[in-house]
Amino acid sequence: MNKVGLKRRFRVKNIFVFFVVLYFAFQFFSVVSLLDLNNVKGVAKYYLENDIKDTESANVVTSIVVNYRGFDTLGEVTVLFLAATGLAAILSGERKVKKQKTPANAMLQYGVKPLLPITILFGAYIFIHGHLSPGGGFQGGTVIATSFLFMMLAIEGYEIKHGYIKWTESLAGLTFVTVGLFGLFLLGSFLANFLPLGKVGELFSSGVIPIIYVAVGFKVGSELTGLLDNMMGVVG
Amino acid sequence: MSWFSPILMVGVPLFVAFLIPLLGYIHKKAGLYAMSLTLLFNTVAGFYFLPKVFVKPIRVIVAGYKPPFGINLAITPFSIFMACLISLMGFLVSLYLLKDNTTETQEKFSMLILLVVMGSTGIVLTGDIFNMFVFLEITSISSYALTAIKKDRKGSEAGIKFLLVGSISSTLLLLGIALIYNQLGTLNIADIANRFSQMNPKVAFLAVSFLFLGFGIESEMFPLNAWAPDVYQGAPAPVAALFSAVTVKAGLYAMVRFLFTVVNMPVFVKALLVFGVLTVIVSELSALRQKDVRRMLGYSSLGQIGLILFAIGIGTTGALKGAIFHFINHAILKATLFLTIGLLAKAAGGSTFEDLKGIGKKYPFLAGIFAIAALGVMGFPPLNGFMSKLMILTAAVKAEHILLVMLILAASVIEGVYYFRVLQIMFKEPEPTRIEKKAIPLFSVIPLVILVVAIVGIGLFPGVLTPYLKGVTMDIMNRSNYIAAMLGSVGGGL
Repeated sequence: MNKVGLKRRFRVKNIFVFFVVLYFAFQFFSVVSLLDLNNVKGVAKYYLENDIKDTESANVVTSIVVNYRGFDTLGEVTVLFLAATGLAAILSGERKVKKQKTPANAMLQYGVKPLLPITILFGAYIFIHGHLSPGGGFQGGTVIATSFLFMMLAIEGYEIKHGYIKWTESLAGLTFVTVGLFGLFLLGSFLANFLPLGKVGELFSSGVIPIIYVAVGFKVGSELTGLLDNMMGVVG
Repeated sequence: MSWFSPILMVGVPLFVAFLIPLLGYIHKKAGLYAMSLTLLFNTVAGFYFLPKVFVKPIRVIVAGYKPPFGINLAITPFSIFMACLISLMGFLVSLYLLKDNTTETQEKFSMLILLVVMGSTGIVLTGDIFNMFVFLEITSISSYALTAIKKDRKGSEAGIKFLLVGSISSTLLLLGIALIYNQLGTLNIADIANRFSQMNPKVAFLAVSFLFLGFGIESEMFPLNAWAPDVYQGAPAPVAALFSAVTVKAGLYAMVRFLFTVVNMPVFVKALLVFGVLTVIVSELSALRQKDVRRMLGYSSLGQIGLILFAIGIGTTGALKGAIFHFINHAILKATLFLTIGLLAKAAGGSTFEDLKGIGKKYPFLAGIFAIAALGVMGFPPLNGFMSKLMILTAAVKAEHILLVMLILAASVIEGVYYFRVLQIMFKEPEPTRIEKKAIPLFSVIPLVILVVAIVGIGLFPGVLTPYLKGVTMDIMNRSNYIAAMLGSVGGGL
């Protein structure tokens, strides 16, 4: 096959694909008006009505994410773990540039250091209070990772110790699965809430939910930090 | 033993996967052994539950909430059968990996392998459509990383392609699931199946189309499979074996479960038939043109998937039985082919026809195993491929699809042409002098021997599997049973 023939074949294929996509887009928009976007029904309605009774958590999103559909969350945590592991596996041994082209100015360099503990504290607050207020493990973890990103950007030669990240993410993941297994051994159902529920609004309430969310917070925080560290200064 | 629940087939691999990074401190190879042992555990657990599930389906409740409010595992004959196949093939491949000395990424490699198998197991065991999506994500993301792990040009290219197409697949699946959830307010598969007719027909059609396309990409259906040959060629050989034996099978499971149990739309089953036929024609003809054995095997694998797809599309009991039988046989045969060609290519320094000239004289044992598996794929009696092809053929005759009968036979002839060409190159060409013969590690030989025994054994005694195939087919065809077992009081004890 000569080059021109190949090109033409691709063009016909592209037009075909274009029309298929167009067809589905059209279908999708014609269907949007048929969707029911105002009513809360089905399982969502059940969650709203029974959240407090089932989990004693003030944040219904948290009870769905960690309790009702905790198994999915375990899966999502694994997805993140995989993304970090996969990236590390692919990037391991890549050439990294250690030196920044222009160092950050003194204000930035001194400013980020006191900011680090404060940001970490804020992140920890978000995931510890996941069952009481908006937020949770994923959000808190992201905030913590941001604090390390500041350090990496502002301070020349700042390095995260890989051992710490490895230990944190492993132990956090193990905690999540272990809590699940305890539920299985004690109550016969994986991830079942085997701790006393307490009263809604208190810090020590909702049984295993805060434990899982703290584990998720540590895991997300360490994984995102690891991801950032892996990508920092890689020459493409 | 109420705690010995099938959910451990997901929970334990996850636990070990999180533990593997720490095991590296104990021993350099501890991670690899842990992975292999875990997959052995999964296999044992799978076969422990297999007879029980065939008597009565098991419903495993997660987090103590009854479906549809919580997530549950829906373990029916079809799912446990697939789970056994996936775990067993995963375990055999993991044995092969024990002596694979790619040192620096070993730990991550074993973790990824473990999670691919765990994700595929989750897909077949779960009874919740969003949970299935999550497991599909786990499987896909570990697959992307495994494809590119060697960091050579081919692997990276294949990994990127895989990533792009896979993301489209996930997006489509998520859209489809969202449409269904919007209409029915539930994510439980049995619940959706039960109330599917309540959906607005237009929305339902679009949702099913999205899911059909999404699962079509996962199960390598033409024209959505352009990424697959690159992946089969670029990924490390054991990984390619794992893909064709494990992940594709999970995608096919999702497709079948969805089309037969969840929705009752014959038009999509017919579409499967058409796409299956196209997959066979295009893949087999492309395989004929290849100069690289790994790539050729990739296309051949797609051809077999096409065969399975259209057998499912015929939709009769006999055809489904044949399709399920071919699931197993294809997994065994392709795993054998990829594993042997991996060893041969490593010895010869490449997998093109040029590289492999006369390799059969240098490594008669490995090349012999390759030859047996190749004959099995072509469908030579008394090997296992013959039995399942015969079953599909008989079903096609019974359903009076004469064109399909001709297609199966023609495809087998084409397979014969390209496989015999490889065998001729391997055995007829003069022995190469540039290659030094090295001993093959024992751990690589054990799984190959087991696989060859399976190829011949299943071919000689297909009767061992017949009752299981019957149970699986009944499970697929009888959707009201599934719904009753998962929603009603009929459900099993857990």
